[in-house]
Amino acid sequence: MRLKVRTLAGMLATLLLLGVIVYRELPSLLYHTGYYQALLQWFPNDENARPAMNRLAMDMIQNLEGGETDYIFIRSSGGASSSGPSSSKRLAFEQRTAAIDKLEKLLTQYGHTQQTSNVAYRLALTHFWSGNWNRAEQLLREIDSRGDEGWFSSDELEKYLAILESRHHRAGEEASLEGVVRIGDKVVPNAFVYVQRADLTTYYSPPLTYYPATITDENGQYRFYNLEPGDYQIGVGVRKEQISGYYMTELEAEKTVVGGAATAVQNVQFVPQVIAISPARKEIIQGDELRLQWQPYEGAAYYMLNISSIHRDRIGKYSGATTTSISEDRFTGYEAVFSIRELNRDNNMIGKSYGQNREVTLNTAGLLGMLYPGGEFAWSVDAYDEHDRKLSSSAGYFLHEDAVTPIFRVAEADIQKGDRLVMEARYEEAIEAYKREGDNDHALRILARLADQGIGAEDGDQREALSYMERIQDPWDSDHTFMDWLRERISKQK
Amino acid sequence: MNQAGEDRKIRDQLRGELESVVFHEEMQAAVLSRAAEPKPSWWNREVRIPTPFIAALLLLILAIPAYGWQQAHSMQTDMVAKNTGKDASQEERIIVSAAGVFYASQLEGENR
Repeated sequence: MRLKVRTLAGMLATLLLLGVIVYRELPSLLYHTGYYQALLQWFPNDENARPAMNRLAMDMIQNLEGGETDYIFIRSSGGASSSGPSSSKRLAFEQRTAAIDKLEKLLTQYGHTQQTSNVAYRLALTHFWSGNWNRAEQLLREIDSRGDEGWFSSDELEKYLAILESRHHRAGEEASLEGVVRIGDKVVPNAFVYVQRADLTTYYSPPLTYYPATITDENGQYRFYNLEPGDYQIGVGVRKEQISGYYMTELEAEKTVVGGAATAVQNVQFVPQVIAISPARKEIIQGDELRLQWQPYEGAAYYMLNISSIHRDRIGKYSGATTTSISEDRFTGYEAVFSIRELNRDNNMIGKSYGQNREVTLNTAGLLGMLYPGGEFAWSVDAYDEHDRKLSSSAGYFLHEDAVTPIFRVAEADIQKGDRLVMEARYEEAIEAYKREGDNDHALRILARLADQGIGAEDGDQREALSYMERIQDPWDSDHTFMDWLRERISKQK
Repeated sequence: MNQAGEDRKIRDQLRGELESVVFHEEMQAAVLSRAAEPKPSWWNREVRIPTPFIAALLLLILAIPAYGWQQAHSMQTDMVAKNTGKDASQEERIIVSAAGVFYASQLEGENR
């Protein structure tokens, strides 16, 4: 190709000009197309770098759960809650550490400004949930002292700061309440402890910023200063892996009274849970015999057994459980054998719940029996000492992957059409099916229970229930008890 | 017509045919005038650029921004993967019951 020199020069000049324009506009282009990392690396001093840093950090923190999901919060009254929202992601420790490092570097490089306060706040919380108390406190103080405003609540910031400040022992000042948190024989540093007024019926989760809270020191000791006098329930927040395989013992007193002349003391103790051996892992029980086995527990004088009927919604997700004691017997050995048929004569596990569209669901175990065929159950064993003090239970924390869950199913043997319809919560169809059975004792019992509980929003009809029960050819003791109860209700209605 | 007459005739005919291409005086003057002019400037000189060189140059001009963009993209993707947890596992729901505290998968999964 032949070109005049001036033409060639013109082309080169145009190309150079274009190159300069592109180079000058490239940071803005990278910023607006979301390539913040390249922008920060290639043009760290460009005017777009700071907003890019903020965007990059915000992208990171939006997806970065702070670590709160590592914790479980347990109340002395027995409730427990996980602190993370269900949509949050679980980051590996290394990933979270890398993210913290990255955010720290970005903040160091571009400085703390009003624009980066959201990033600094979330970073502080990530440090907080990672147990980096000093750094968390430092960051929160910086944000607080600058009076930055962002997407965070300044009230929440103050509460986190208060928790961090509360970990410092105040020499010469008497605490209102103190105690030690132990898991097994080890003290637990860096655990959260919070108190809730005993007369409050509502509970917020995660609880930390809603209730006075503090952090245990290296000796597992916590202290609350200047608590208002009153009755409190104590809760602790510990990492899930710390308590897997443990059980939180009942406190000496249900409520902790604060306000006397002396410091109130309340220790929190987790003990190894009783090991439930069998049945487990969703074993299917065939036949009539239910044999429960557990490991001996040190110091236990006797054991008591409980059964939970597991409820599932229409798509099979767990929706709750109803728990009752299997028997009032105290077992001194490590095994108990029951007849499923006998247990199914018990219909104490009644329950009625309403769905979003007011559709009624009855507890199947309250209709078909405690261990109805086709049902799914969890069992637990409680260990007591000779003073009837509960030492431990198998109903602890199954929060590790290899945990053997004490869950079993009862085989679907001798199941009637009505039973299946009851299990599917199709009660009207079940009633028709049972009625077609005629004077079948099983069908009459279920019809009576359905009539008693009512399959609609309204209460049941005890007269109708009694009329079914009175037709039973071969009544059990539990049937007589039920009939007596029905007669009593009817007489009260009169 | 004798031989001499015929030769003349051919010569005249030939002269007539060549009359238009004769390097006459006007043309000679034009050539001399042009030869006297100064040489064309460097600016107007023609250069010959090999076609493969032009092709390679064009390819380079296109490849540089493409490579840069790809680098920017991979930097962003790497950063997202490393630091935002977009590939992290979903946090499991915890189920608290009187029989114990479980992960949802332990109750809803198989044989655990």
